[in-house]
Amino acid sequence: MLLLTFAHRPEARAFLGHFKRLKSHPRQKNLYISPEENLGLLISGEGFLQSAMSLTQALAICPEINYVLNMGVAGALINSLNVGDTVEGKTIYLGKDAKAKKMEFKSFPLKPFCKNLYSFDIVTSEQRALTQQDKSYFSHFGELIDREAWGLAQAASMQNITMSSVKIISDELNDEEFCQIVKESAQKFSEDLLAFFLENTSSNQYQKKVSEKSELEHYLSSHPRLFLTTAQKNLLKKYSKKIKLSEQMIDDIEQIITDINSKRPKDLSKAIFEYIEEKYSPVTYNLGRFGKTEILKLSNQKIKFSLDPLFETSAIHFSGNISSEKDLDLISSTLTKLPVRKWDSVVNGDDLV
Amino acid sequence: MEMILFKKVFIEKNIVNVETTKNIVSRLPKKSRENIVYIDSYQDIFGKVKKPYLQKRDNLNLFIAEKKGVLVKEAPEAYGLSGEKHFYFINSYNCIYECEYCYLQGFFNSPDIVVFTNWDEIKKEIKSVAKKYPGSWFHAGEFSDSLALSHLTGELGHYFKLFKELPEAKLELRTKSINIREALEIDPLNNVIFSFSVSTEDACKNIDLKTPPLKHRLKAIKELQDRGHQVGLHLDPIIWSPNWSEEHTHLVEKLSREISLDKVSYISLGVVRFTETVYHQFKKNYPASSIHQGELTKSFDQKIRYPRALRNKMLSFVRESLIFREVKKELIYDCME
Repeated sequence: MLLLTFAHRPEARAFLGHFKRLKSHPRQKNLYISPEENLGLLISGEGFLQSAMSLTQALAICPEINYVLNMGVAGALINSLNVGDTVEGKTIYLGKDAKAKKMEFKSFPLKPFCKNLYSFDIVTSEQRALTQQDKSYFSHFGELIDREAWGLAQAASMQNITMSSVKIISDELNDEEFCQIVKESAQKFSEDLLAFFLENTSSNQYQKKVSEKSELEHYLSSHPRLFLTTAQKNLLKKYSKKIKLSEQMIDDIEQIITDINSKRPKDLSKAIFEYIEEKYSPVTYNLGRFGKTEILKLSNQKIKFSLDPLFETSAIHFSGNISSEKDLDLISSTLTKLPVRKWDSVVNGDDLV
Repeated sequence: MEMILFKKVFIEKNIVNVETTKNIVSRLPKKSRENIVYIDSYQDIFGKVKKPYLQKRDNLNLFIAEKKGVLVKEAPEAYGLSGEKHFYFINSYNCIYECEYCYLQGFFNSPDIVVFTNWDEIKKEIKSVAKKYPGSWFHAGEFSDSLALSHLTGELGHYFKLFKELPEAKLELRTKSINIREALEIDPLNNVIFSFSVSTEDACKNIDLKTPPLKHRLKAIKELQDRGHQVGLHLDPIIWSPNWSEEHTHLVEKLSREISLDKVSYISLGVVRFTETVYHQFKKNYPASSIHQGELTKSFDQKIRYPRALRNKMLSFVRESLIFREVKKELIYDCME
């Protein structure tokens, strides 16, 4: 669901008039929802704290929201932007105190919303009344100034929700009467934003995304003979970023399933995962396999071997106890079986093809 | 030489009238000169906020400032040829190029370029360190490319003048740039080495974004060698690909064909590596990079690299290929291994 956010009601008026199915939510004042249109509208209030709280609450109430589009007015911090220009935000910074040259370090990049719009950085100002000197300092960080976008972006980011911001310029760099201008032109700004929205938004842009599975994930998770644990599903996501399913892989997987003795889906999945792991980290996998079959298997009740888990050194660690001469003999004979030179050469990459 | 267009140029008020500052400003493109802002300190803006790294593509600012604090720093172990002391001096921050593995993406909190103009102090400090540690190496280009903006800063002549007075000290200018016009006009010194990072053709094109292609780098190296300048090579980072051995065989063949490998002062080898912070940024900035194809894993020092077996294999393969092309073994060293 797409959630439109505005700081003030006058900015949202044209939208509330147009989307008649938007109904006020019983649990949050100023949140309007239209499930049929897959659309929400929030009047977040002014100030980054207020806007962050409003959006956090809205996201908690409506978990279907997966895209936030902040709309509204912004002031220009550069001369080339004029009243009525529609632009979009690129990155949002928080201006804390221009006189003290204080900025919040954290910033939020925004998702581009419309290819045809120029994009600029936004500074959300903590303070309302700004002098020309304040504007001058903030202009080092962005070209637009508003009062809420940073708070919204923080709330959206905490829940990993995509956000964009489309602004209409309400006052120019040298304007002093900021509030007056916004009040007088609010209806016009709202109508212009609505016109832009209707022209540039297709309904599929904000439909709930079906989780996109890679071919490998899809093939394995829907395979009738396999059962994947949650941990394996997560691993598969990671592996899928690097490994692409090929015809050869499908043949290999089917062969493994045919060859393996067990018919238990869990055992089959384990074998398939070993195969995929080898594809994902061939060097580490083969080092591990060599270590396991040639060194670790020599462990017995008197001596236990372990290896550097990162295979950065060829050192072989062991621990054991000797209670009798027989133990000593067993340990001595076990130690002589260690393929020390071979292991060193394997870890050093001498055998890699 | 292509002029870099900076969106804004911030100049610290106290150095506006310094000769070096005035010279830099005069060499800026007209459009950048129209957007000069005078500020008290670059630290009031640079690094105050987290400016996304990829904004360097269309929103790059230039700061002209005075470097305060430490001007010359000792380099970490395994930084250069062993047995000698290595230092780097800080003449600028950040780079105009966009190499996908670059550690600068996780180092500063902004991609904006900072150029320091208090060279007299930097030179004084180099002299003092060189006196204290005779035979030391000094490196430029730790936080920037040494040549990429040298036409703007005009600093190359100053380095040569300084190191002519310090014949025991050595200066390394690390670069991927082919901006050598100024260098060709300067008389060579045996203790000033232009060291070029070179990678396979594919890596130069698809990973070292916005950098000159390999053939142009080799042409620049050749011209410098012909002019009598000392040249070093960094085959660093070596990046795995399904055909890495063939690609690196071609690279070494190309080097031996197009430049005088026998005249190269040294060759360093290194395999791609990331600190955790840089790796996190790299994944975010370049999710489709071909570097992800390699088997990257956390290493002994928490850095992300290939497993030791693969690193050793790749390094020894390239080393042997160079030795086969008659590079002296003692001139090849492993960097940061």
